[in-house]
Amino acid sequence: MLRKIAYAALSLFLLFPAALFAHENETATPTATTMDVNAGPYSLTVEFNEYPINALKSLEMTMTPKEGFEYLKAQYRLIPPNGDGKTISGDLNPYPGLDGAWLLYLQGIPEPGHWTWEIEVNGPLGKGTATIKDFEVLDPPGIPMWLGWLIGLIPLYGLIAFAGFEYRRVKRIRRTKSVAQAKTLSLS
Amino acid sequence: MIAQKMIAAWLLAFAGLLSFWGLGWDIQWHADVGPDTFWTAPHGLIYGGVAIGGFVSLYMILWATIKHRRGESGIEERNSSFLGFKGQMGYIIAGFGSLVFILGGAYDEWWHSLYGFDVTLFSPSHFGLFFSSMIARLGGMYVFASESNQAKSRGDRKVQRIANIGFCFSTALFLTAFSPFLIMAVTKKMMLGPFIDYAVFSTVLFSAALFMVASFIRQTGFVTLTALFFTLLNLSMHYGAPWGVERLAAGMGLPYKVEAIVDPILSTSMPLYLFVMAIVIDSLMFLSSRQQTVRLNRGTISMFAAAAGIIQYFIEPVWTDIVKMMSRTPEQTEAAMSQLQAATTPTLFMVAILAALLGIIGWQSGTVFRYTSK
Repeated sequence: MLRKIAYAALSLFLLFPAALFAHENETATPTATTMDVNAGPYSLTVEFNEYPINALKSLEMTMTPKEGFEYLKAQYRLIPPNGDGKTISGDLNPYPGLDGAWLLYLQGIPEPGHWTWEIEVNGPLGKGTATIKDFEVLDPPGIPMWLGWLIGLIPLYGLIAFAGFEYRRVKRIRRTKSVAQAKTLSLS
Repeated sequence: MIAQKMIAAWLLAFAGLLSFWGLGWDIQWHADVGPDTFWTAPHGLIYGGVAIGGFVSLYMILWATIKHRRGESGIEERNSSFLGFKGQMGYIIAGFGSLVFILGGAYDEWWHSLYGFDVTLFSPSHFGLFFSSMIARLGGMYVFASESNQAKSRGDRKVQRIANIGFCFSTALFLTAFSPFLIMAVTKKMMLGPFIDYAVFSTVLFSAALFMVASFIRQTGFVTLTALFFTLLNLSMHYGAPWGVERLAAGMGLPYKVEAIVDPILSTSMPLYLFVMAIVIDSLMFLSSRQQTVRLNRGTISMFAAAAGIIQYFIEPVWTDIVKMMSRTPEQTEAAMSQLQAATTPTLFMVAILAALLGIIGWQSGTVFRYTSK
């Protein structure tokens, strides 16, 4: 009887994810802020998936030049507030599936504060830089990092505790064995 | 009844295999395509494997508990007690591992909702999942250890051998649970002072694990078998991960990222020729058993372990493969390679010392399984 219940439960459980995963997820990230900037002779539309953004949270930025995308190359610089700290910089790459736009995926801006974007575009009309000032980065979301790690490592504490438990168990067995051996020897 | 126990044990191992395939597929997917959300097919495979393992463990624990309540004989000697339940220790551990993994999955989903779907291994919630899967795989090792010892006390050589083979397979699966850490040993922190991080970490891991197997089974050949299983798992992901990503991307009509890695990430991070190290260890087992040429003590274990570690260090510098795979520019590769080159000699000494030390620790830890018959 128990076997039948177990098999039924198992089959149900295996069917459940199949139904769930049958729905495909959308890729679209809703744009929170759009702004039009000028990088010298070039006009750009810049969109962020979320703004203001929390520190340490991933950010998606899309930049669409008004024209001539194929002839343009771009780089970005993200300058920390008050110039303190490291500037994040890199190339802007096209994203397959996005027509005529560059996509930047930032893993997380390290500090809260007002950062500055500098987008440098190079092309047939020369070089131009767009500046976005006062880009607001809020405090990191959720619980403090140390607490996050403290919770996340719970299984590790369990493993360590288990290792200690096993060490004592084997020690106990060995002690019992040697006592038994000594007893047999003394009797013989 | 024995057949049922064997089937359950191998089903648990199979569940671990599914999770492993899911992990390799998932790492590749996140790196090459995305989208980076929770409900993807690779995640389904991972959690599906964990769920199957959890259900098998639950079933076996309930089965033993009910038989015990009914007053059937033989349950006491073959099962441990836990919170009023009876069950083999391996299933209790594996069951816990699955439970903690599922809870960890919820934690991971929450973490991602806060911080976004970053393509990174290094996060608190991911670490929780990695350690949970280690617990689950460790349970599998314990199950086969107890089946092996029970068969031994029955005088059943055939089942004992099957259980030993199962133990080797489970150990290989257990080792794969460390692979995210092997990747991070290069990508997150390539150097540990003057030493190559990956070499240090992998020597500690494989020396201990292979000597653990040697210590439990104490017959020639099983350490090599464990390493061969590990190689097979590696090969399955070498071809499986890129293929799986390609099929899924095609099926969903998604393009590859511009910065896609394409090379099989998980497979590249695992040594392919681990069986060379294993053969050195097995030669110690051979020479000390029938041949009686060599005595098996801490001295000889250290020597053979150090030799095995050094040989592995030279024949397979996995870290260079990972650097080349993950590097974005030739300058990055250059810089990393010269750093690694400078560290070759100091790391060699560290590898020899650690291999010897961990070989002894592994051997002594392996006795735990000799005392596991419940």
